[in-house]
Amino acid sequence: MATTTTETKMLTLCTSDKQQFQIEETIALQAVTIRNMVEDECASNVIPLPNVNSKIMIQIIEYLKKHVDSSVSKEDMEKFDSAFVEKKLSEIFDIILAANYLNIKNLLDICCQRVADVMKNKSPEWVRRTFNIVNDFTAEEEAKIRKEHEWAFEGVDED
Amino acid sequence: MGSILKSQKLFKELKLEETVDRISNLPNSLIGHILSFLPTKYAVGTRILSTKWKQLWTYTSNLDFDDQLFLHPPDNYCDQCHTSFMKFVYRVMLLLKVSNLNKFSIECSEFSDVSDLNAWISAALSHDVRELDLYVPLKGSGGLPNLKTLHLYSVEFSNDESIKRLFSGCPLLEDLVLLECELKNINVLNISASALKSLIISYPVMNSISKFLKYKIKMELNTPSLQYLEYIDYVAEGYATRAYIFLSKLILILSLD
Repeated sequence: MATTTTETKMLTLCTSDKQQFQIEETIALQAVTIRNMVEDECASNVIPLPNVNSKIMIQIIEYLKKHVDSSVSKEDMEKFDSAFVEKKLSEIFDIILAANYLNIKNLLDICCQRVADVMKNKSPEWVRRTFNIVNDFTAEEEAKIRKEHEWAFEGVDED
Repeated sequence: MGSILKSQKLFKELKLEETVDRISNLPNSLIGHILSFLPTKYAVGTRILSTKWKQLWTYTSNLDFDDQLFLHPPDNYCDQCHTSFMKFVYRVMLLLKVSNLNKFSIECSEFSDVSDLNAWISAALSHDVRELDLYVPLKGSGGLPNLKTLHLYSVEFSNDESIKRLFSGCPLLEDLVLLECELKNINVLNISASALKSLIISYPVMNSISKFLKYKIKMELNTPSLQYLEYIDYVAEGYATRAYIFLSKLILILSLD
């Protein structure tokens, strides 16, 4: 009787700070950028990812490992996703840039959603303070835009 | 007071340790992607943040208009709020930059003139919109000649003619879902759509008495390209069909009660 041996194919990812990560190919291929590199055979043994550092890569691998598991229910996956984005905004921005580069759509979406949720229904002053956005309008310019958009700032949360 | 404390706590948790403006330094397309998760009212409101943000909302790929967000206090309909909502939608549609709109969603409780809605849909179509979500009180329906997917939830058809007009206006329709639609004014539910591949008619039986049973509706399918049919309802008064030679999957859940 023939026996089938399934050999898990591994890929090595090399981050910008020259750290190497060995992960199963099925996990890594969820990133469309990596999949294209593998399909085009551009990648030999080691796939260089010059736009992602190891600190962010660890988090992205955690995400990919969960999402490759088809036994996880939709509900549990949503729970995982909402817990995953409970991070400092600076980390969320790093993951947004990495997810955009690696082309992992759902990861990009949940992180962008997280940033949008922070901004939603907040006063402009609160948003500026939270994101360190410098208000470079003159007082006249700001007053003009505020007048145009009066309705947009009615009923926002108190700061 | 509670809301102020909550807001301050949230602020502390979120505050970047650094003082760098990370968000404004993202590529415009990514900022647009973030803004596409906000109702359009708030996305456009970011214009006031800084000179860079004045134009960034135009990169959003989802438009989500809800007239409830324009009512102060909410649920309190006023003509002035309605006018400012209408003006807002027109301005956004004029100024929008993206060529590929992912979603256009509009929720509006009052409509004095359906031609406004037609103008907005035309504008959305000129941006190659992929998904149209309309939550509006509609009387009659114009044609959507390129529409391929139509999901109607809880829509009331006024007569047999309105159903006919719907299908003649959408000649490329491939995917149709009628979920809990109100058919009390219908004698014959005639679905004539030559390109239709997938049809789902569902009236969850547990909810109430079926429309087919209650109103003695006849059903006629003239759908030569149909590949998938899902029909969950009581048995209709009568069925007339044209050949199903291409039908590859059929789900019938019928109840005789």
